[in-house]
Amino acid sequence: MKVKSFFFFVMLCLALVISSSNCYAQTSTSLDLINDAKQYDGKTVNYKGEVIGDVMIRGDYAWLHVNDGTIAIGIWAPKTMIQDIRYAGDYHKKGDIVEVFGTFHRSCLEHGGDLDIHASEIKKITSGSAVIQPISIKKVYIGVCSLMLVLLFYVLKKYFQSR
Amino acid sequence: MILKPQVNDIKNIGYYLGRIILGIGLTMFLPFITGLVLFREPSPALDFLISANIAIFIGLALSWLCKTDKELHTGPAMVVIALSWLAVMALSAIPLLLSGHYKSFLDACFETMSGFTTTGLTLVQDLDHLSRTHNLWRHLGPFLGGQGIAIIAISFLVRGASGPLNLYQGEGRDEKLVPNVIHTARFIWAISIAYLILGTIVLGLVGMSIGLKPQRAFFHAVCIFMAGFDTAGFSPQSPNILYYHSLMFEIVTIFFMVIGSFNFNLHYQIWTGNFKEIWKNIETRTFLFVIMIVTLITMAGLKHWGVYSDGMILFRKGFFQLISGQTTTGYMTIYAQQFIKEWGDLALTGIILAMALGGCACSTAGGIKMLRVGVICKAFRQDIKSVFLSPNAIVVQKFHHIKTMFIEDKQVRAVLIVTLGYFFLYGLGTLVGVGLGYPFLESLFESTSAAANVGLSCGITDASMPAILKVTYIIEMWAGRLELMSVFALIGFFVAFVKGR
Amino acid sequence: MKKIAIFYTVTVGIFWEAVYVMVIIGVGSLFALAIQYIR
Repeated sequence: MKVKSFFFFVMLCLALVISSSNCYAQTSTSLDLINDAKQYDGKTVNYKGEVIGDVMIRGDYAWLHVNDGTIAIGIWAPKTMIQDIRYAGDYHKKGDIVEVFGTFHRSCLEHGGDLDIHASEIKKITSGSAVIQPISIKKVYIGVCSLMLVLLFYVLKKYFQSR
Repeated sequence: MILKPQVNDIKNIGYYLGRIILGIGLTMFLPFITGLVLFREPSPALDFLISANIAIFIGLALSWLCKTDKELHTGPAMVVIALSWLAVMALSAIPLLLSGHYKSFLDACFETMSGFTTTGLTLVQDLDHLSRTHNLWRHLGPFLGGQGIAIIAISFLVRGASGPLNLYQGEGRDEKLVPNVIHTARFIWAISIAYLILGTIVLGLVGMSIGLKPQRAFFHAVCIFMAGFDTAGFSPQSPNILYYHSLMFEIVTIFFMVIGSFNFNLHYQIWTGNFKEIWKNIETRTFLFVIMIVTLITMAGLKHWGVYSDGMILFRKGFFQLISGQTTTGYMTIYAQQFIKEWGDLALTGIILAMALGGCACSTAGGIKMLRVGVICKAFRQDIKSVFLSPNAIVVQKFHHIKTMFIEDKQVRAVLIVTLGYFFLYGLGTLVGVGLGYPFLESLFESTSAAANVGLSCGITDASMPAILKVTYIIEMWAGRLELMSVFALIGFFVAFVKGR
Repeated sequence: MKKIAIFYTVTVGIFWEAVYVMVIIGVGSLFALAIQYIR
C-alpha cells in the first residue's frame, strides 16, 4: 500500500514536470530559425532578444525587430502587446530584452514573403536603458594635438613654398 | 625594352596621390561636424577628427615632397588611380576601426573598399548599435566612390591640361559628357545632388508613412538613397531592406537602383532634352533584354523548387533580389542564408548571371556592363550573318549609343579583353573559396558579387572567414571597380621599376 | 526664363526615366504573375 502511494506520488511529480516543460517550446536562436526555416514554418516558436531600431506602428499593429546577438528578426504584433516596450536599442540606448511567443513564417503570405514571427505573446524580461557613451580624454588630446600639428604643418609648408 | 620609371615619374605620381589623400582627409570633416553638432555624438566625431588629421598630414607631406609641374600622362594617371583607391581604403578605415565595431583593421579596410567601390558586402559587428556618425561615413563612401575618386580630384584638387582627363579615364570611365572633362565631372555631381535631394525627400516621406519617426526617417532616407542610387547596398540597420517590411519602400528603392545604374551620359542626354535616347540606347535595350532572360530563369527556378508560389511574393522576393543583383546594388529583402538554404540552383544561377553581366557603363554599377554585352551580341550577330552571305560581302553592324556607330574589330577586341578579365576575376575568387572549403556555387556567387561590385551575399562574407579570402575579395572589388586596366598599369609600373633600364 | 526651361527639361527627363523603370517593374510583375499559374 505504502509502495503503491509512493509510486503514484512519483508518477504525479513526473507528470507535472513533463507537462510544465511542454507548455513553452525551447527558445530558438535566430540562426536556428533561419537555417531550419522550412521545419519551423507555421509552428509556434519562442524567441528571445533585444528590441532594436524602431517600433513601427501600422494601424492596429506594429513591427519591431528583436536581435538575439546574431541576427534581428521582424516581429508583427498587435499594438496592445507592445505598450510595455520603452527602449529600442541603438547607439544611445540598450533596448528592452523581450521573449516572444508566436507563429514563425518562412515566407509570410500576409507580408509579401517576409521571414517573420506573428506574436501571440510578448514578455519583457529586462528593461533597457539609456547608455552614456564616455568620451575618452586620450581621444580629445590626440584629436586636438593632431589638429594643431596639421595646421602648423600647413603654415610651414606655405611659408617655405613662398620663399 | 622596358623603360625604368624616373624620379620625376614617381614624384608626379606622389604629387597627385597626395592631393587625393588630402581630399579624402578634408571630406572626413563632414562626419566630424555632423557628428558633433547634429547627432550629438562627440566620441565618434573625435574618431573622424583624428583620422582626418592623419590623412591631411600625409596628403600635405606627399604633395609637398613630390611637388612637380609635370603633366600627368595616361600610364602614371592609372597608377595614381590604382594607388589612391588603396590609400583611400586604408585611411577611411581608421575611423571605422576606432568605432570598435570591426574585429580588425583588415575588416575595416574590407568595409571601406566595399563602400567606395559601391559593392556592399559588410563585415560590421553589431550594426544596430553603431553610431549615426560612423553609419553616415559607411554610406558616404559609396556616394563619393560611386561618383569616382577621380571626379572628386578633378572637381576640386587637380588642375592641368591632360591630367584631369587621364585620371578620369584611369578610373574606367570613357564617356565625356561634354568636351571639357572638368565640366563633365561637375555635371556628374549635379545629377547626383539633384537626385540626392529628390531621393531623400521621397524616401523620408515613405519612411514616415511606414512608422518611422521623422528624424530617423530622414536619416534612413539619406543613407538608403546614397547606397541605393550609388548601387552600393549598405543599410543603416542589420536586416537591410527587409527592416522596412514595405512594398512602397521596395518600389522606391527599385527606382533609385535602376536609375543609379544608368550611364551618366544617358542622364545627361535625357536631362538636356534628348528624351528618345532612353529607348534607342543600346544599354537600356540590352538591360531590358537581359532582365527578361534572367527573370525567366530565376522565376522558373523559384517556382519549380516551390520556394515561393504567390505572385506578389515572387515579385517582392524573387524580382527584388534579381533587380538588386542586375543593377549591382546588393539590397536584400531576405536573409543571406536563405539564398542557399531555400532558393535552389536554377534561381541562384539566374542571379549569378545577372550579377556577372551588371549595369550600364560609366555609372556606379559594376559587372561586365551592358554596353559590352550589347556590343558582343551585335558582333556575334554580325559574324553569324557573314556566314550565310557570300564571302565577298561586307557585313556591317550598327549600334546606337548617344550616336549611331559601326561595330569595329578593334572595339570588339577591347570589349572582349575586359570581359575575359572579369571572368578571370570571378574565377579567381571562386577558386580561392573552393580551395578554402566552401561549396562551388556559393563560392561562385560570392566571388561574382565581389568582382562585379554587387554586394548580395549568400553567407560566406562574415568576420570569421579566412583572412586570405577577405584579401581576395578586396582585390576583386578594387580591380572590378577600376575595370582591371588601372590595376594592370600598377603591376606594369612595378615590373618596369624592377626590370627596366 | 532659361532657368524655367532647364527645370522643365529636367522634370520631363526624370519622368521618362521613371517610365523606363515602370517598364522594368512591369516585366518583373508580368513574369511573376504568369509563372504562378504555370504548374
